[in-house]
This record gives sequence, structure tokens and C-alpha cells, in this order.
Amino acid sequence: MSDTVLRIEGLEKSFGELEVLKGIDLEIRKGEVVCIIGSSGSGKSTLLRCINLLEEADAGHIWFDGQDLMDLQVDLNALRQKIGMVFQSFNLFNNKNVIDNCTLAPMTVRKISKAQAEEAAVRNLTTVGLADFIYADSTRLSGGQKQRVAIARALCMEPEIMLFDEPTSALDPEIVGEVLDVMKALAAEGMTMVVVTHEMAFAKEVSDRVVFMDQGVILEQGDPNEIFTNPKNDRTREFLSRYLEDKQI
Amino acid sequence: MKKEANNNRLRILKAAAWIAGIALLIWCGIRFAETVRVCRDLDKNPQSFGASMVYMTLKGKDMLITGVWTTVRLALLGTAIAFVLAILLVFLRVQEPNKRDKEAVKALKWLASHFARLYVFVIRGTPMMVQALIFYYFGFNLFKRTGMTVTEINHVWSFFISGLCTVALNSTAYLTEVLRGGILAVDRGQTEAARSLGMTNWQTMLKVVFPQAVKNSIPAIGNEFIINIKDSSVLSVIGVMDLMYATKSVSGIYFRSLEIYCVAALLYLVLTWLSSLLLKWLGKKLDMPVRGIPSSN
Repeated sequence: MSDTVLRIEGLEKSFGELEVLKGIDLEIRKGEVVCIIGSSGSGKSTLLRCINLLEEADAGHIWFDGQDLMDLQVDLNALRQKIGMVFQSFNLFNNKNVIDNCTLAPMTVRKISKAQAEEAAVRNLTTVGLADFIYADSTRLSGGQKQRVAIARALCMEPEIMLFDEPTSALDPEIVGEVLDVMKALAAEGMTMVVVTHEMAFAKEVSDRVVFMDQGVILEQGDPNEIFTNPKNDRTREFLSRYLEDKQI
Repeated sequence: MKKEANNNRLRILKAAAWIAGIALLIWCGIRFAETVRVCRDLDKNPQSFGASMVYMTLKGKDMLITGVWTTVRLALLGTAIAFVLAILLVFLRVQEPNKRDKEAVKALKWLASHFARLYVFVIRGTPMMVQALIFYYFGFNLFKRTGMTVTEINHVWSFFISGLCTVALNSTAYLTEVLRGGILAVDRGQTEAARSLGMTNWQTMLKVVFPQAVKNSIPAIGNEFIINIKDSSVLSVIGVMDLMYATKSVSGIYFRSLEIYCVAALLYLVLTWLSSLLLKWLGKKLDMPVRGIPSSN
């Protein structure tokens, strides 16, 4: 398939005795929004972190851009700049203000001029609705604002795919919406996205495919309507029923 | 009602204490001025403890001023040089061989990290007095081999220069550990975010981690400066004309020890106190936490 952006084959990862990923196969197509759901400790975040090698997997292949990221000879930094990542805890650079957070990597990695980098930063910050906070101190923003800056920062590298690691889990319920709205807009623009999330409503509404993970394996995946209304796997049904009771999605 | 009465009583007590304190201060001031006036005209060390302190301080003031100035320079320059060296050394210290590095790079990183470890291990594990003597004689012998005369060597490898080297190289070890602590205190997420954007390890260190680590370390670097004010006193063994050496000299001239060492203690106390005030002020300006006068190592 030519429109595959990312293909994961037989990915395995252990932390000491604990087997976190037990052979994951996953394919992400261009423009697709894939939500990974599952209970805590099921390996969702680890899978995401293995994709851009923040965790080094023990075995398997990660095909991206015609290269295997698990190959030790591969230029990791060159590939990483095309894979945007948004973290649960935002991880804005504390020593930089908002715009410098966005321009640092484009200027040091892609070696583009300051003017160009700033232009792109302002454009992306405007997209995420932070045009008024361009020169703000990044440590003084609210959680929702920080996460939107983090998204803008990742966008400034013009990635081919964006990974979201529980982007709203550290936010209080009232401001979850502002981050999800930005993500929805991004999805609508055709960005390829892999989202680890507990926001079932978001997963149902926005994603093209939902992946349910449990104890280090993918138990079920498919169309969100299919999964949320008629899950085939017992474990999936059990997991979702708890959410459906609480949230009435 | 009762509480109010208590408050009033407390207020009166406080006022009385203030008045008493100020009166005491004025009295001390007058006594001090008087002693200074008397001592200035004396040509013999007076018997009274306080008067002898004042007498020797006045007579030896040129030496003591040189001493204070040398001590301040040693601490200031020593800490500044050490800071620069520590930044280099801590960079070596935090190198970790990675699975994806080439074999040569792995070996280099191992070497760099272990060199830094060894340096810190040796310097922190030996007294500065011994280091001072070793550095001094090492330099002396080195220059001697080039065929220089003793006068020439004393000019190039002076007591002050070798003393400054000692302070700087000693502090480098401590500041390396201070900076390493500062680096470890930077959240791992900062590194992960930078790496996820495609920045190299070196770029991440330089642009993201180091600036934050240095900021974290500033209070501890100030402490190291204060420690150096006090600990540079051991350099008097190689003949650096610091405050300690000056005190010893004055004591030797006027045959009185306890009095002049008390003066030295007071001068050191004033130096460290002023420095900690200065650091507190700087810390406030830079919006950073500050600690009191630290203990020596």
C-alpha cells in the first residue's frame, strides 16, 4: 500500500521483567486519525513512545518514510523531525517564551532563518488560538494554553504524522475542550494523527479508526461506530461499558 | 481585653529593648572611637585584650587590607574560573554511551565521563591544603626544568597564581557536581520534547538543558563563592598573601596571637556576611531562592 505512512511490525518492549508490548502490528495511512484506547498500563503510551524511539523497543520494525527506525544505522534525528509529538505534561521549554519554544527546533534542526521560523510560529500559534500570547512566558500559561503551544511547536516542524500521548489527561475538564477543538481542526485539515486518549467522545467523533489495547496487545481495531456500538471482543465491551455508563456517549 | 493588655506590655518591652540596644551600640561606638584614638598614639602593644585588637589592626592595616583584597580576588576569580571549567567538565561527566553510537564515539563518551568522575573523586577526596602544596611545587619544578631562575619562576608562577589555580581547580570539582545536580533536576520531559523535535543530544543539552541547569545551580554557585572566601585561608601555607597570611604576619610582628586571630575571624565574618547579602539581593533580582551562609564542605 503506497499511502501507508507508518507500519509497525511485531514490536516488543519489556521494562525489566514486565512485558509491556507483546508483538504489536499496526499500520497508519496518510491522513488517517487513529485513536488508541485501553486501560492504564495496557501499553498505549509505551507504544507511542516507541514509535519515535523515546523508548527503544526490544524487537520489531517501525517502517517510516521508507526506513526502519529500529535499524541502528538510521539517522534518527532526521526521521524524528517528521514525527511530531505532544506529551501529557506539555513539556514546553521552561527557559523559552512561547514563540522561542516554537522557533528553536526549526532554527537548530532545519536551519531555517529566524524570520522564516517566526513567521511559521506566528501562523501556527494563530491556528491554535494563541495569537495574543506570542511573547508570553511559557511557564505562566494555563494547562490548556501550554498544550496548544506544544501542538503549535510540533506543527512548526511540519511533521508528516503527529503523535498525541494523552494530551488532555493533565487538564481539568473545563479546558479539555479547547485542546480537543484544536486537534479536531488539525484532523479536518488532513493531518495524520495517532492519539492515545481516554476521551471516548473525541475518539468516536474524530477518529477514522479506533485501536483497543489490553495487556500489551491490540485486541480489536476498526471503525469507531462499530467498536463503540458493537464491540466484538469481551474485554473491549467490558472496558467501554464502564465509559458508556459514566459519560453517556 | 487581656490580650490587648498583653500586646501593650509586649510593645513596651520591645521599645525598651530597642532603646537599650541603641544605647549599647552608642556606648560601644564611643568606647571604640576612644580606644582607636588612644591606640593611634601608642607605640607599644597595650595589655588589654580589646585595645590590643585595635592596636594591631591599626598598625597592621596595610597588610590586612592587602590580605582582604587578595582573599576577595581569590574567591571571586577562583569561583568564576571554576564555573567555566565546571561547565566543560560536567558536559564530559553526563556523556552516556548510546546503543546507536559508533564504537569510537562510545569509547570516547566512556572516557570523558570517567575522566570527569576521576577528577571529582580525587579533588573532593583530598584536602585543599595538600592540593595547594602539590600544585605549587609541581609548577615550580616544571618551570625549573625549562632553566628559569627562582626569581623568574616566582614572577610567572607566583604564590597568588598557584593559589588561584588551586582554588579554581578545587572548586571545579564541587561545581561540576553542583551543575550535575542542576542537570538532573531538569525534568526529563524537557529532553524528550527536544529530542522528539529532531534535536540532537548536543543541541538539546546546549539550548534546553544547560540554561535551566545553570539557573537551578545559581544559589549553590553563590555558596561555593562564600566557601571559597573561607577556605582560601589554607593557601597561606604556600605563602599567598591572603587575609590568613596577613594575620599571621601581624601576629608575628606584635607577638600577640589570640587578639589578631579574633580580628581575622571578624573580617572573614564580615566578608561572608556581605557576600551572602549580595547574593540574596542578586537572587531576588533574578527571582531565585537563596540560602544562608553555608557550612564548609
